[in-house]
Amino acid sequence: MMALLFLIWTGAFGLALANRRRASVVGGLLGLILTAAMFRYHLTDTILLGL
Amino acid sequence: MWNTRSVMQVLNAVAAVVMFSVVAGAYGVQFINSEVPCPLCLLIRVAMLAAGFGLCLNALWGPRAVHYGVSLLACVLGAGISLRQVSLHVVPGTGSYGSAVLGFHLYTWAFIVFSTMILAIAAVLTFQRQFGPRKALAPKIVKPIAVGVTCIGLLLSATNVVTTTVECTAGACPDNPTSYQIHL
Repeated sequence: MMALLFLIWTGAFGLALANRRRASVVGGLLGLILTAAMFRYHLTDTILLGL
Repeated sequence: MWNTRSVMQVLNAVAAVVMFSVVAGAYGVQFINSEVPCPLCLLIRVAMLAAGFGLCLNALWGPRAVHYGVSLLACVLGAGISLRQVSLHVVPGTGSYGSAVLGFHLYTWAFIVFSTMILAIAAVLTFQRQFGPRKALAPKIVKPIAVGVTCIGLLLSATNVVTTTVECTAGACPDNPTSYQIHL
């Protein structure tokens, strides 16, 4: 799963180099959300949010 | 023509190199000291690359609020992750993870770098002229610098895909890894 996260960031860098600014920003924001989810998973063994 | 905007593009490229050099340094510790990175260490690397990514966007297309936003979010996330790891080892007798570099462990250095970068971005955001009209063309040297730095980020990210796959395969990484799961 962690390798997938790096793969998403590799894609974001690739999009930036391919002159796709908006797509790379969207990819970066998606990568940040998934990084936060992975951090939560390693803290609590779940990525679900509960009240 | 050099103006605030093009100077900021180069400064962002330099800051991105700083973030990427920390990831490269972590690679050095991993292979020279034969230390397998823990999941939180890998997440810190992701946050470092993410912070550098936003700075690369600034270097490539000029400063924009959304680019700084990506970097700031990554720095806050990275500071949180590294602070979590510091808190795991801050109580005396709880040990530490990995060897120290210049007196601090890598996660402590990471927290210092993320905090410094947040302050640096906040300071740089006060220069309003960098967001001005994009009529003047940047000097020709700016684009190759930006592309070169972004290539470094791409290369580091891609190599991390390989090394993380070797360490964790497709599943979740073990909390305290002692060896790679794929033996080459």
